[in-house]
Amino acid sequence: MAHRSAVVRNLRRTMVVIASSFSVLLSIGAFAQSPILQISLKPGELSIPRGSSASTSLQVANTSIHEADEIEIVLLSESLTMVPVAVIEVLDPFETTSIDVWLTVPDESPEGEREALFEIVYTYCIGDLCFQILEELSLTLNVHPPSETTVEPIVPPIVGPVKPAAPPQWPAIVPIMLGILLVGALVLARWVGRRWWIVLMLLAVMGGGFGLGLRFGQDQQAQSIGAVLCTSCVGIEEAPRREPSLSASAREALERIAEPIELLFFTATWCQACPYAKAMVDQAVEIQPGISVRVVDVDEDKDTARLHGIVQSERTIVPAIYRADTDRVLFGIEDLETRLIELLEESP
Amino acid sequence: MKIARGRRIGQSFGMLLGLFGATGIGMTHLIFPGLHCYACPWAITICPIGLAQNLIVFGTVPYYWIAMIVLYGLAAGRGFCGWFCPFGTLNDLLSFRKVKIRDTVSYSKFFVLIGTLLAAWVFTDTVFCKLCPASSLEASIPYLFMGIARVNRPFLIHMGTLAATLVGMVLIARFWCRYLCPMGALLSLFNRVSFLRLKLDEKRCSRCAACTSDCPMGIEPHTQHDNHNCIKCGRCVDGCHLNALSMDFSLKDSP
Repeated sequence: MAHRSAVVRNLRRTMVVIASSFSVLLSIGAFAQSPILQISLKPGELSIPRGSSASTSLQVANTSIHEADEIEIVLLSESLTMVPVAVIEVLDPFETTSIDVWLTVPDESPEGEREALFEIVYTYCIGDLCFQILEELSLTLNVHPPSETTVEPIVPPIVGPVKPAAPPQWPAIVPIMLGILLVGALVLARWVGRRWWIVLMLLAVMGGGFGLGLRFGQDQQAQSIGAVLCTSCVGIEEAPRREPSLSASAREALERIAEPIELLFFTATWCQACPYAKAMVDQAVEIQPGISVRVVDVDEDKDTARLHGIVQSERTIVPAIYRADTDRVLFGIEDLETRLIELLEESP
Repeated sequence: MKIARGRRIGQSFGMLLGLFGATGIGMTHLIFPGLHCYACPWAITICPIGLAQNLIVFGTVPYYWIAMIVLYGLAAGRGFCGWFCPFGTLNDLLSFRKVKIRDTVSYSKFFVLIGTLLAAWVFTDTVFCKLCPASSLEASIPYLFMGIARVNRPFLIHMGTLAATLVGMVLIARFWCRYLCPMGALLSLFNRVSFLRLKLDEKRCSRCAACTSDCPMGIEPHTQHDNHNCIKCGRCVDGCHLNALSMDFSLKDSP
């Protein structure tokens, strides 16, 4: 009995420690997901004579396991002009790229220091939800009077992304040697127990591992892998490639709807799950012609998207289905049939 | 009871590190020395098993990962399972039936480890993460309450593996750590070289086997003090009336 009460006491104490650490942390609680691209301008400061052009390089690094799509740079400052920059269609996980940005300062521009403001727009998808991210970036411009010796730089008409040279490959013998050393040390340890030379072998593997790992930026890569939501861990379903088909009960529910309903369907060209959601809405309209759908491309009509809560803190989330009279919105395609019917059956 | 208290502090610290992201700190470059899901909304460290799978998917030679694992292995081996790992702590809380370990069956965790790495290579996906009960508890459930995860097939699979593991833990103390944990398998390779170790003074030992009844891993510390399954929790040390067992952190060669 004494033993059992000790176990219970132990258990209780452990529970108290866990519960208190949980509650302290949860009360402080904040949850933020990192943006997936690291964007910077190099140099971050430009000196341009009035009426002339200069370039800076936009450095983009995808630090996530997700592919970033349609990366676009837009100049927000109206008093400057920028040579059109090609859209970076796809940036694969852990890839980096750079692109030259040419700016022209007009003749009548005032002299002195000023800011040039850019907006970077890109999209990515996690599971069945796709996000569009807007980030602002600024560049310090130092406008000075034109000197007579200034040579006008040749401005290329369209600038495309430049892929940096691949990092140097280490000879395969290095990882093989490290592997042999590690396995050897562990096998010997199992056999003879701990000896100083086995510890030394392991320390060599550790040193080599840290040296090479840090040299190749693998700590940064590891951080990037950790920073992005692991959909496998959470259990988020990926976007389906098949056509949806409404069930018999959903069809019956749709036929029962008497009032006309107005829906807004928010979509985007970069959204992978939107075709599935759109096909399901189309099927619903086919069965119940009282439902009218207006399709809104969030890239073309950002104001409407913002008005209906599709853009939240500069993040656009699609697919989204909005019902006007109840002011309700559905995101994603998970269990869409049930949620869509619920949305449609709700009385205003 | 000294060791028990120290271990509780260690386990609380492990849990605190596991949830430290609640303070607003983002993901760091650190690899967690245990099984703790990096998709946990409050994680600031990377899951070693999740990272290993990702590195296989991306075809990276994992220098940094190896260095971290060797560092942890050399320091304490499976000591992290007993003193630090939050999922190990959950196993501890449900350790009611300290039955004897089946030594041959305990090698199953190596199959889980190899299977995890192979599956990542064959399917170019983090297959183990889809089944991992630690992520079910630490990622799926929090995200369900946050409205990001939904009750769907992958989510139910997660709940299924979690429920099965919990039942296993209740029936067999430290069930997950004994038979299934891939991180435990990795660290157990270092158990005989690690600086933190369990020492046995054979002259003092009367072979009374009091230590065996205390061992959550179901091993016999008085005959197998350097067993690869030993999580160095020190319960046997606290339980030994003759002080034949002791915990030791030293750089000396093993006898």
